[in-house]
Amino acid sequence: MKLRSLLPGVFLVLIFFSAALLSYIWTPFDVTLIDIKSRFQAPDTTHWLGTDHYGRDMLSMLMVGARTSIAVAIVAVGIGMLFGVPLGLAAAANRGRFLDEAIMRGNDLVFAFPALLIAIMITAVYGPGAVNAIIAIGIFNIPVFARLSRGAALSLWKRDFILAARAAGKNTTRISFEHILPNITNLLIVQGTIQFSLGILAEAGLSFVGLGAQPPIPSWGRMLADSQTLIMLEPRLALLPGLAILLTVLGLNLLGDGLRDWLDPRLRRER
Amino acid sequence: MLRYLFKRSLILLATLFVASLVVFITIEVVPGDPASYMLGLNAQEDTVAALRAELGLDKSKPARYISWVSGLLTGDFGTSYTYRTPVADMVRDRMWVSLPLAIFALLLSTIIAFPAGVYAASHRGGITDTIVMAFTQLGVAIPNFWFAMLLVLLFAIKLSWFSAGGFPGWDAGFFQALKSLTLPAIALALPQASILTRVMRSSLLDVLNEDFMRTARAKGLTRRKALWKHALRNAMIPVLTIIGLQFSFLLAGAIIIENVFYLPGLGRLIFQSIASRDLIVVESVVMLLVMAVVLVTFAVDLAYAWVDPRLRGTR
Amino acid sequence: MSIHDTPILHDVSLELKPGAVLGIIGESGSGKSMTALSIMQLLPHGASLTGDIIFDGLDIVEATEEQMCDIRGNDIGMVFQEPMTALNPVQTIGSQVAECIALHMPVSHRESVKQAAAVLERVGLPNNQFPLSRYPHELSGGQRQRVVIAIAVALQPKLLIADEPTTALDVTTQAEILTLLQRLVKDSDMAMMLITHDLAVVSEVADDIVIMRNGRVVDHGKTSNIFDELAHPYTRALFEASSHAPERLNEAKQIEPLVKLTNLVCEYPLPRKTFFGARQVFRAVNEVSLTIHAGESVGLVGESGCGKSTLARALLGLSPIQGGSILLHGERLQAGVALSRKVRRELQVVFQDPYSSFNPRHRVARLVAEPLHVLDNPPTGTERANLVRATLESVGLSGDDADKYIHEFSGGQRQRIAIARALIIRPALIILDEAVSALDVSVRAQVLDLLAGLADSHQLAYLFISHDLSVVRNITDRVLVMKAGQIVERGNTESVFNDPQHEYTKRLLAAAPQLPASASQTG
Repeated sequence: MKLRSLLPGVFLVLIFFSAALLSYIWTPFDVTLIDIKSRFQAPDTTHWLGTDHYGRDMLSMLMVGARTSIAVAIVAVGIGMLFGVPLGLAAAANRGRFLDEAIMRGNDLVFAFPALLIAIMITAVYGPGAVNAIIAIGIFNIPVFARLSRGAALSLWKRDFILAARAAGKNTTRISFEHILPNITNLLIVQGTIQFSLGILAEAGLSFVGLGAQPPIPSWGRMLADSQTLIMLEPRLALLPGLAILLTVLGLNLLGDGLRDWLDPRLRRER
Repeated sequence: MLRYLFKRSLILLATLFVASLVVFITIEVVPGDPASYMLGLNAQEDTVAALRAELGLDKSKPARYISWVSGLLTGDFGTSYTYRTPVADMVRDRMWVSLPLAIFALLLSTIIAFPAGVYAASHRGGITDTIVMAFTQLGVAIPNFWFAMLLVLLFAIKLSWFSAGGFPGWDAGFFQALKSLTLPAIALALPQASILTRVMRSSLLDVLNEDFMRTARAKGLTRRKALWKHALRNAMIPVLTIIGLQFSFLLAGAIIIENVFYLPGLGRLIFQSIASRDLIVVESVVMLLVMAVVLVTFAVDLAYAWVDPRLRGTR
Repeated sequence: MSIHDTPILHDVSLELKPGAVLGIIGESGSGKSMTALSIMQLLPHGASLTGDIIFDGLDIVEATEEQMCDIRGNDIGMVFQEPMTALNPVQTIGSQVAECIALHMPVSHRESVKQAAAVLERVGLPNNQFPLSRYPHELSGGQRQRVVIAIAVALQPKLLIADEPTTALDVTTQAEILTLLQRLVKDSDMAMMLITHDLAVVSEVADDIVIMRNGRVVDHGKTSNIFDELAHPYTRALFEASSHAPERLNEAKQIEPLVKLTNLVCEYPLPRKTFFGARQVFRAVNEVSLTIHAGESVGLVGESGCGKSTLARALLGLSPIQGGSILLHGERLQAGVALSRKVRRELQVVFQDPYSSFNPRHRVARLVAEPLHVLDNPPTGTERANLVRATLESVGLSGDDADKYIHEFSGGQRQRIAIARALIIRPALIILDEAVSALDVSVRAQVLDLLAGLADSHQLAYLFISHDLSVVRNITDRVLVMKAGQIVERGNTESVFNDPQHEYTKRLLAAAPQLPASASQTG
């Protein structure tokens, strides 16, 4: 029905994913190469997007930066799903009992710590790094997925086909995996893309304040932080990484919206 | 109603208790010896010993936890190691920047989102709806600190309407201070307003499809009146949830935005403390922020009961 | 009338007179609700209407939105099917009724509240018992429906449209609401349009009847004439289906007790009233004893909340029991413990809602084969596929349906698949929990025939749980009447229906709408 957001979403996401993947085998220039002589070069045929204040190639920096952002966000969403979904399913299967209450209160507790605070605590003790960013964003993702899967599973548990499966003698674990999980996959995929885009924003924010990936690994947030003092001199250094974040997140959100419309059983239901 | 209040209060207290344990354990127990951590590798034996005594590290861990919490409750947050001043004083000064900033941003975002969401929902599919939705797509995707930099570039550097950063203090006059918070608040508010607009719109659209809206129309209410009198209050329930969540995002966002505008708020304090390994300040500020988030969640729970009579239980 | 160029209604013509009740009958999808919404001009987005609707001299099709807002609630009131969702949950009932009055009359707020109180009294909600400050969630379904009616009749409209006003209610409540509607029509000389799928309801209330099918009027006339003549073939078919009694070959021989419940008790914990007080419990099933013999069909009748579904769930081992015992083939089922495979094999269930009974992501083959895993040696591969095909064919579907998804089937077909799922492991007893309640009458008749045939060919016993007395009467050997967790009457179906002993049974039977006797005999 409404697939107009799916295509641009897929297009944008593909661009940044392929740039990130390509950066593992090839970048136009070496991003660790500091060449003060060629700094602040405007875009030309050698440096398509120009160079930064150390003479590094901006396009190469952005490609490796995409890799950092995407890697951190993917692992963080993975952590969230891996722990959150089973917790949510278990809570729903034991509705109203102790386990459910314990899991939900645990969720509330984690919600009291925004990802940034977790990152701050970890950094204060262990020092900054990309792994800290992953852990902080990942922990914050767990209750998101737990809550989502619990809510969706609860409404499924009321449906007669679950009762029928129980009447057929299947136990709750088996029902959770055979009947509940396949019916919430769409929801998880859609939420996954949304959390993915939030993860990219969060990673950029953490790197921006120095709590994320550390030099010499380029990351979009760090590039923005570096450009802050040079914004009057060379606005391009601030505009490019910001646009990269904006377009990636926009692409993921469009993809999420498009997927939701495409996968929504209410729109596809026949009869 | 009382039952609901009582249960929510219990959950509030329990959450605060466990949260304080988590903060204490992460910052004071996990690193082993906080004193030698704070002083770094080259510290002298006797300096470390002196700091240990000052921090009370010779006492048992439960005793340290109790004295920290009771300090927090009485307003004694300990003494900063680097600045040698009471943490409470430092926090109090900075709070008068961070808190107004977060509230300013929350107000802005709500003021923008409400009319936009209601208008978009009641003119669904129209040209304005499409434009509003396109803007919110952009607003949700834009990193707020980058947006802040763009605002500085345009309004401070090119147009010189605002200063690029810094804070004159409330003593310099209310409007002077407010003016220096305006760009940061806009940078914080616009992305949040986009989210809120979308939630407001979709929540309202859901309610408009409910049976009781048909009843309202069958009474002879016009579309607009039915929306104002029957749909809006029902649509508020998910919107309140998001407003509550946003406050914690705004607080966290404020920490980052303060760095763009060089505002002397809690965010600057926390990063300076991390750089100087001043764990005492970090610990207290983190706990303070957690408390703020939990209290706002509690307030949202109360607002639920106000909006939705079903939560107050039957008589 | 058409929606997005899909024609929904064709050449529908009907006429309403003041002080008379017009019944509109049709099965789902016949366009009867759309006709009502056309009069209110509250059609869904994209709908377009041609023709004339003359109300009190004004052509509603040509009326402006402003004129319609004046008419709605003032001259035409409307009552909807689902009382649970028809009221705004965050406003008091008083303000919802008063709003309607204040909207159309130049009165003060205080005056509108006073009038609202009077209207609520008139629909049977006395103010001392149901103060205006009540919220909808504090009322039962029937009480909520009275509030909806109060809103509709607050300003003494000339026309009242009631769209399935009693479908979601119990029989005794239904009877009360119908009486109320009739009284209101008579008192204020208004016209009423009663839309329903239930022939019996209409035959008791309506003066004139219109029968609709696929968006067309197929038959109309005076109620008495329609029922006597049964001129149109569809009218006749509807009639026969409504009072359909499936043919049953074997009289059950009560030899071997299959299931024996003795003094069964099921309780639910209620939310605590005070924080430290002891937890209250609600006894949903109170000391119920019941025996079902092999091959026998037993009916369990009662209104919603009487505990009949809890009983079924206890029997299936889905809810724990707090007392008494369940014996199956003489073997005791452990209370609260999952049933053994051997027992599972004997018991299967068919639920009410054909739409939520199936996992939408599985193919029919997998859905039907689900219970097979309780067998010791479940068939695999071709053997399994053949068994699924054979079972589907035995319920009147095609073996090829096994490869389809559930959304490709209609409600009646889905119920057949549900029966196939229950049948596949050859159980001794199938529990039918309101299994035909959601089906249209003609489909219902077919499913009842199927069930009767299967009982004979498969030696099945049924526990037929229903709120619908007529269905139970036609398919069961014995019947039990349940009220507030207890069995108040039991006996052979015919004798209970012909000569009820308990007060409650008498009330139930009196409340159930009846088709005219003359017509039942012809049909």
